[in-house]
Amino acid sequence: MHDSKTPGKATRSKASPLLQAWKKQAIGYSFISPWLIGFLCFVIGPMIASLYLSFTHYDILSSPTWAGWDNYVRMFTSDPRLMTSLKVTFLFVFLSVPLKLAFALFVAVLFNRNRRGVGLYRTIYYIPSIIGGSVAVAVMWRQLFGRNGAVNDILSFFHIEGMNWVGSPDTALSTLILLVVWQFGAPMLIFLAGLKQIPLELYESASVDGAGAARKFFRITLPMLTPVIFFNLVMQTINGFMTFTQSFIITEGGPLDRTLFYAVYMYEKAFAHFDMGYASALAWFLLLIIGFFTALIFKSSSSWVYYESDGGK
Amino acid sequence: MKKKGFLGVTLLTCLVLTSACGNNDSGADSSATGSEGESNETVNLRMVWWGNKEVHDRTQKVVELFEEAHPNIKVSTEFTGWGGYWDKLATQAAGQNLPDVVNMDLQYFAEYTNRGLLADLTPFTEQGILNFDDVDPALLEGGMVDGKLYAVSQGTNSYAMTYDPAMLEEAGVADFGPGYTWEQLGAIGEQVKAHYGSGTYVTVPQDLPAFGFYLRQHGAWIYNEAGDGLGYEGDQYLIDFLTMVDELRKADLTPPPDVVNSVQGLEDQLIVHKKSPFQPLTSNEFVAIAQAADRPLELTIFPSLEGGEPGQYLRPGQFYAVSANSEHPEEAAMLVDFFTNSEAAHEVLMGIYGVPISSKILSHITPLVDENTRKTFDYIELAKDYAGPMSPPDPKRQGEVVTAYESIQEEVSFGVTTPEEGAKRFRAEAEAVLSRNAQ
Repeated sequence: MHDSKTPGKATRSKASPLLQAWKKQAIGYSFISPWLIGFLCFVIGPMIASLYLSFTHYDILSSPTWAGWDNYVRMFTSDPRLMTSLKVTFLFVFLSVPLKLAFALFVAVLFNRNRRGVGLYRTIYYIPSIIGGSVAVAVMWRQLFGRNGAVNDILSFFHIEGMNWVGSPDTALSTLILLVVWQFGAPMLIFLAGLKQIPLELYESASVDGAGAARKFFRITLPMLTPVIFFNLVMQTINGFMTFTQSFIITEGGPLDRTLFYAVYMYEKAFAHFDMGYASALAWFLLLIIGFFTALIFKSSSSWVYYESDGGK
Repeated sequence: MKKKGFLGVTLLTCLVLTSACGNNDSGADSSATGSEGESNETVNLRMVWWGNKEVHDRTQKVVELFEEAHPNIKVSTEFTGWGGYWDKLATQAAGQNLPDVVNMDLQYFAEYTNRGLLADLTPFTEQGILNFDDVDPALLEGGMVDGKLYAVSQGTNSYAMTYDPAMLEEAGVADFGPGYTWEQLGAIGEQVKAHYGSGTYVTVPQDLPAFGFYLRQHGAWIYNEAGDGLGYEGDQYLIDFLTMVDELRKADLTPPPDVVNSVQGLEDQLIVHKKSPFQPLTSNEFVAIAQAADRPLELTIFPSLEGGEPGQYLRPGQFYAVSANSEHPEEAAMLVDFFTNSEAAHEVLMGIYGVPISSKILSHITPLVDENTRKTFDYIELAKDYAGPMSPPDPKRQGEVVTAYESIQEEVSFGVTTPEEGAKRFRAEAEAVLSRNAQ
């Protein structure tokens, strides 16, 4: 009884479970520490730094000077090229993401049948996505759609006069959209996994009821697949806004700024114009844009995504 | 709570780690003053340059020769192409981590000297560590600011018009040579088209340096002296220049923009594919393009302006400079001197940076270089006769001015903007950028 009144013992008995809990957690944290330290130092740290830099004038070579909201004000008052790049980026995302998902789903449905050699085809069709973001594919695309490229060679076979697809303002963006649509492998694999999850009984009973292939696809496959479509839509939208390599390598943002993606413009500001403060502000604005659209998709999901486990919507 | 505590600790660790790195740097800086006295300890230098593979190989070999001659100095080298070079250098400058010896170009020279990032080499010249006895003082001027030397030119270059004499002869163009005018270039275009048909063009200078060249012929310059505004009055110069090129393009004499866009690098220029008898470039690019074309090409000066002033000038090629944060500026200066004065070094370099600035070196390697390199040497001699004084180095933020010019020039070439609108917009945009230099 009086033992517990002594302060020393009271604190010890209080501290030791805390300490033990801490020890337990520390083991867990120590296991993930390589990732954790990397994340804090190379992701969170630079992000905080860029948030600070976005409020400064910083030309990399001399130290940053405080600028308040200058950079953000400049973005909306005196930067017509930013508006161009926003227009280009939105157009690109709104066209390429649905096209890519539709195409990925189409190919996934084709590969969902258990034919001989289908595994080989799946692998082959996945290859463009593995090498997709790389510089090599971009360079290849530039060659294919260039003035003396293979595309024009094929066209000339049909007596159609070719053109410089990547160098003409009317076709440059479409050529880049075609490239990203062609890199459909990652969403395709996820669709494929989703398709495998759909219970076969549903199809069987639909067949018994006399439903055709199209009906089965729209009434069973598509609704059952909405969670996967949702996931792919979110991922591809985020990726779409951050597209860089294709434009940077193939068209360098041109011609006439028709492929000036947001990320390319940001890079130009940071490293060609040494305007790192402004580029940081651009980066944070991009984060807001992506956040907004992701939130929008999440919000809308309740009205179109179907989770079986919830027993419906 | 606990989680936050842990995050806090990790974040602190990070901060300590990064600041420790920072301390290391400044520690090294302060020790620099102590180590200036000569010692037998090994000195480690870092050196960085841009260039293609050939430049890399030859420069690396020269560095090895330098190490052999100075066994107590070790040089570690870094190297990139032109594109990534300035990103890399700026980032290193931001970290106060510039290599001891850096490659410098006129385009960025002002950015670096204005901010005190390059060391003043004048004391080393006075001590004789940097020896310019055989160098025409005029060739050093490009690397000087207020009478102090900050960078040493590695070779003299000049804008040059590469041409294919056989193609011109075949098209019936007689006596083409220095003194030809902008108008004559158009007339030659007619002849070339008449002979070779559509799809063969004359390539005329039309980028921002070319406009600068045109301005020089009218006694003006792109930028004003303070570097906070444009240096020419009124928009008529740019209207005339853009119109001149635009008319050639409308007559299908110069390549349309989608043909221009399809060119992938120097080795893919129209002249290489015999689709044009001309290619404007800087003289040190000649060897590469002549090799790619694999047929005899020649160089001459840019088009003249009748009754105009000389647009041509001799331009220092790649500079070598010593960074202000170097711990061993003396040894770094020795390396720069080696690149300037060593015969053995130039037997390796063989004029790859342009015409060597030392007259002694020049006469030593002239008999040794290959034919195309000798043509560039001869060309610089020729260009001297047509050259005026150098224009001042480009001001800060010139990168944005270049972007503005290029996008306007592209719009004019696609017919989206008229030369008049373009000239007006260039003034507005360039002034807006440059006026920020005044603050």
